[in-house]
Amino acid sequence: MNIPWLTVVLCIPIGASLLLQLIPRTAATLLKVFTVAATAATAVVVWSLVAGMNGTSQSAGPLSFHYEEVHSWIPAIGAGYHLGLDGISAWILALNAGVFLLAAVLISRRDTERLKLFCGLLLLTETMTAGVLLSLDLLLFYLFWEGMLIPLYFILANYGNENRGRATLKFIIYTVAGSLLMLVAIIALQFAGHHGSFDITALLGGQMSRTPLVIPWVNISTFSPEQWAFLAFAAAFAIKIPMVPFHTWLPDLYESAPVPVLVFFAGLVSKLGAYGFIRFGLTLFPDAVNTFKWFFAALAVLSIIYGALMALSETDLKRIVAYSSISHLGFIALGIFTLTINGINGAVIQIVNHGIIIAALFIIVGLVEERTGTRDIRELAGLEKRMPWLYAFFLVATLAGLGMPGMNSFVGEFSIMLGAFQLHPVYAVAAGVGVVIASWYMLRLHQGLMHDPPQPRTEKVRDIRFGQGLVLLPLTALMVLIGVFPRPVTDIARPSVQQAVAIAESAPPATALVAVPANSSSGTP
Amino acid sequence: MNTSAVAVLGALILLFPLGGALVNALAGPRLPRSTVNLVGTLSILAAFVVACLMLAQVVGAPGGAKSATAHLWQWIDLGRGGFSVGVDLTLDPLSALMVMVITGVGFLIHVYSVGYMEHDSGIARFFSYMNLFIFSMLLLVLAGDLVILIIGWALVALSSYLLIGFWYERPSAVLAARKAFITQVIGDVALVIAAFLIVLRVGTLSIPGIFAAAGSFPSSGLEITVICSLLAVGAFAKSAQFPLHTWLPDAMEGPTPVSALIHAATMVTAGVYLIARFHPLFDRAPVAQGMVACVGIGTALMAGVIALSQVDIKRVIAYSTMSQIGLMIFAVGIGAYSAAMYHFAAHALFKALLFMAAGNVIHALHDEQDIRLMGGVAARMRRTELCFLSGTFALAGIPFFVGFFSKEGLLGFGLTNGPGAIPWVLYLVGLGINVLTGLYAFRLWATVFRGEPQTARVYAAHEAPTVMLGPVAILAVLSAGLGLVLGVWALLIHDNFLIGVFARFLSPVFTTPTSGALAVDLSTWQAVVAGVAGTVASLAGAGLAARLWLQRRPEPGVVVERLPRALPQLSYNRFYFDEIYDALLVRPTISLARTLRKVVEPRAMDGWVRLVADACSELGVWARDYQTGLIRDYASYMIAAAGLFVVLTIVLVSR
Amino acid sequence: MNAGGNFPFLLGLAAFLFSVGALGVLIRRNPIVVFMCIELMLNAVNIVFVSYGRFLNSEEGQVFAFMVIVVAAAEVVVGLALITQVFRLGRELDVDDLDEMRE
Repeated sequence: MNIPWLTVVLCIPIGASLLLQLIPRTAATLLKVFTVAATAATAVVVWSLVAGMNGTSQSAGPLSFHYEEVHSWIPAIGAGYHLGLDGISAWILALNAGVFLLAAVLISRRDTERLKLFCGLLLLTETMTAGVLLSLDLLLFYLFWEGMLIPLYFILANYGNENRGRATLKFIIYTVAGSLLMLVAIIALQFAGHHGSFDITALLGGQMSRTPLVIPWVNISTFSPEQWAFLAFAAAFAIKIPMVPFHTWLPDLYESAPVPVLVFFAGLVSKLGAYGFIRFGLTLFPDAVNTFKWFFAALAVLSIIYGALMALSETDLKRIVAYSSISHLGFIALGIFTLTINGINGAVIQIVNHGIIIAALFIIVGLVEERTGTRDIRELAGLEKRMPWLYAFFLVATLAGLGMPGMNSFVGEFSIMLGAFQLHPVYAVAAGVGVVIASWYMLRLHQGLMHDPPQPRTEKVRDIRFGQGLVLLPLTALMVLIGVFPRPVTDIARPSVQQAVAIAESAPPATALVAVPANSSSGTP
Repeated sequence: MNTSAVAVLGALILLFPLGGALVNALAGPRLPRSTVNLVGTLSILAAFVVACLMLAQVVGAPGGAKSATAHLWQWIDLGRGGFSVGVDLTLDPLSALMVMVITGVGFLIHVYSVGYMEHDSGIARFFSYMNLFIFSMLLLVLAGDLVILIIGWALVALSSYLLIGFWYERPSAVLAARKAFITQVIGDVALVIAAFLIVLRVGTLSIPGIFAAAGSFPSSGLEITVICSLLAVGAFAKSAQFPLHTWLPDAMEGPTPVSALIHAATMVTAGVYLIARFHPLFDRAPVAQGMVACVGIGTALMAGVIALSQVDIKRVIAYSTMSQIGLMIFAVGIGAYSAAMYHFAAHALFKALLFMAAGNVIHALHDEQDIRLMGGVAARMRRTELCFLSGTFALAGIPFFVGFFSKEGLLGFGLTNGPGAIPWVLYLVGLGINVLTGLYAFRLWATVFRGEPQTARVYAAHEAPTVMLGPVAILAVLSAGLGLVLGVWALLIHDNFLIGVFARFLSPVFTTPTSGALAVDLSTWQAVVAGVAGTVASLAGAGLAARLWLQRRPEPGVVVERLPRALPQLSYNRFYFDEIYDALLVRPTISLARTLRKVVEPRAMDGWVRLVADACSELGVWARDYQTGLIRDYASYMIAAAGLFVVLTIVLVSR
Repeated sequence: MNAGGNFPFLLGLAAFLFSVGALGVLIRRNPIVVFMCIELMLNAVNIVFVSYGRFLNSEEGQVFAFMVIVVAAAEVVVGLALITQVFRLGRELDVDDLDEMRE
């Protein structure tokens, strides 16, 4: 029987969020169980799909997919319902299923006001993010990309501390501004493509003009249409990642949002920008990517060091983790813009790693705040004595966060830095400085909480409960496991990364178009 | 050698300490103390047994096949255009020697810890960290792939961090741990970048593969020099060499067994091991070698000077460690690899001994570490004093103690290699270090054990329990007798000096197709001259120390006053390195971070976003004036715009 | 029959009607008259559509004209309902007076 599994993945959460409306508002336990069951069902489907993948892909073509579904949607304008799962999206989709399951579990363990609304929105968000990862049609992608903001807005605006309104507004306006630029570029791409289609497979390899646009009358030549379109996409993705200097929405938002939201927001949503760069940036605008890689890699390095320094000087636990996240996402972006096999493989694996690490860090920070009533690192000390188990979990997460060799993020950071070194040694050295500062701020965070004699606030706290440990255990176990056996991740991602890099490399640089004689140029249609 | 045997032995020797660490970490707090002690020590004993089997494998292997690499599993493989790493273990004479020392000395220190940590409630945590350390160190020396080596390298730093900060309620220990870790990370990054350069050039990260391709580097080329310099920076961070040495004295905040195990016997010698292991690369980079040699001997001299004026018993030994490792680094820098490894093995014995004997004293005096408050301990701790003395003799290089054979031989090698008069200059510096070594070694002994007790605590001191004295005594006997016995054995059976036999054992490692025969060898006359001159220097230092601190003729204070004022100041203040780094690196980084948070983030980063937002809202305010609410106005705007459009169209079309 | 000859006159008629309508919208204050003027403008546009359709030999002009008529009818329904409501509230029927939505 031929079951459209990708559609199933999309339908379970949204279907569950509709069914959820049948449950009365007061049946809190039922709501929680139902939400956990729905996310767990999605996770089981996704994880078995990913586990069933191996190195070979089913479909043919320059960009091939393990699972693919094509149906017509709005044929008049060339928009199709095209879903696909390949090695790059597979692990991020698996992460997606994981973080939403985790968020649902966290929600089930605490009292939330307006629980029904939250559960419904949570499930809706999962469908949207999964859709972003699965869509291969630009219009469909855009639909999910913007659709994601709707449930997110209601979650962020309704749950969290008193500053949430401002922070949410900033985030939404910021992201929408970037997305609208992307929409313009999507339409331009459809016009430029030969097939009048929004399908990524029809637009591969850069079909827009590469001759610079000239502003009439003043005769100043600017970027080419392809470059403009890439910059428009990049605006959307760079804001979502976020890369410095487009990051200011992030610390405020992370500070105000509650932990279950942060688990999937920091764990997944911010990675979608990076995914977008790999999936669309590389394959649709190879020439522009090659032109701008120096600039974006420099921005990425700036993010690494800037985020690390900010994390070093912040005193609020959540803000420290938020800035550490900016620094780590800088690594992911750096890996992508190296345009090397090493760098992009590293970026893919680091997306997964960072999702795990940041979820664990936010859960731990949440536990500390819940136990001690403060998030100020200056008022916290000596928790190791009172909370040995939390100490152990936090130690693993800290080490993973600072890129300790033997832990998961070392795999990613090593590959990324190797790729960066191939781009230019300066990038790798600068990233190395970031690694040193990372160990500094992570230890400051860890030791600040755990060591030294206990302070008044930490004198009488109790250790985490068994169930809370049970939530953290799989995360920390994964940090170690991926560090020791990273191959399952890279083996699935590798063929797809190679295809993406091959497409990105197939575009001769703009200068070479002139230098290479016509008969020797090949590859581009 | 059989690779499957290597795989089995390698897996076993790694699994025992790792298993011990896991058991104590997870179940330790619930287990009775005796079980924790047993798990902690027996896992290392088991590893030691496996290490003996490994040594037997190496010794028993036929001449041409002394090295074997076993492939456990593929760590990562990025295929075409990417890198790949296998979890490989290499067993050869060098790693066999390292493994023997690590597990042997490590086991004795574990036994000693049972006594030393008797009253500490965190014993399970302690043993779990210690076992983790042994595991990491073994992984480091057995690694057959550069990335696996880096993983072991960093795990060593991690366990060192955990152990230095073991007493986490002491703020000084917490800071020392952080400092040690961050310094190690600097070394890690250097190592990682060296790995990048290597893999991009030779296409593999497997250590045998790198050596096979070492010939592709042009000798003395820029690339190989940079690679070796970066490797050396990694080694300097781990071995506490200038300029990355400041963490080691602070690391004495950890419990004494930790200092003995990590900061004397094993971890800090990993840098020596690294350079020795990568000698096929260093042999092709004479500039880097020269740099390594100069840093080594410079650090040895500097640390010797500092050791003279420190007052914390463990810090004195720590600086002596730094000095001795400086000598080893010097030796690998001049290509005398087997001499360095020999001194490493000897040093592991007598330095662990010194630390543990010092630990006995500290324990007996209830955690007193200031030597000015000791004195006259000998009367109450006779056996400990004898052991300490054995270590002191070995450290100073008094004839027929184990240190004599290694150190004088090591310095002698300095004569054989190098351009022009440099070997002689270096040798003279080496002799000066010998004098210094004698001075500070005997100063420590004299001020701690001899003279009059300075505090009441000393009167209450009593000898350490057997579990602590036993390992110390074993090491004392070894450091007093092993050198002599082996030396006689070497002369009788092999008709060679001990160091020659040692060099022959290690020669399969240090002889490679690229470097030809053994880089340097010591002729008989050189050995004799070096031995005699070195001994004279050591004895001179020891005698001077005895006059100054034992007989107090003249008073040490008087001597200090006659020296140029800068020298004691520099020595006492450790050449102001901590202050310099604080002013040059730490403070600027922190103030930069503060500036970013207070100024750049709100003004610049959020500033431009606000600017855009404000511009939009200004636009809105301006446009509001045109929203009069009169339909007539709106209609006239529309009609005016339509009219304008018509006119524009006509103009553009008719153009 | 060829409409070519009438075409400029038809466009002129449409322009005239449109101008009358626009002027009426701008200067009259009674909402019902404003409404009628809008209808006038719409019908001027309809004339343009139909005559261009005739001129270009295509049905699309007429299709759009029907579209406009439908829209105009819908608009009248809504507009007249609004005006009736305003009248019921006892307000004077003066468009300049109905500016409460401004703030």
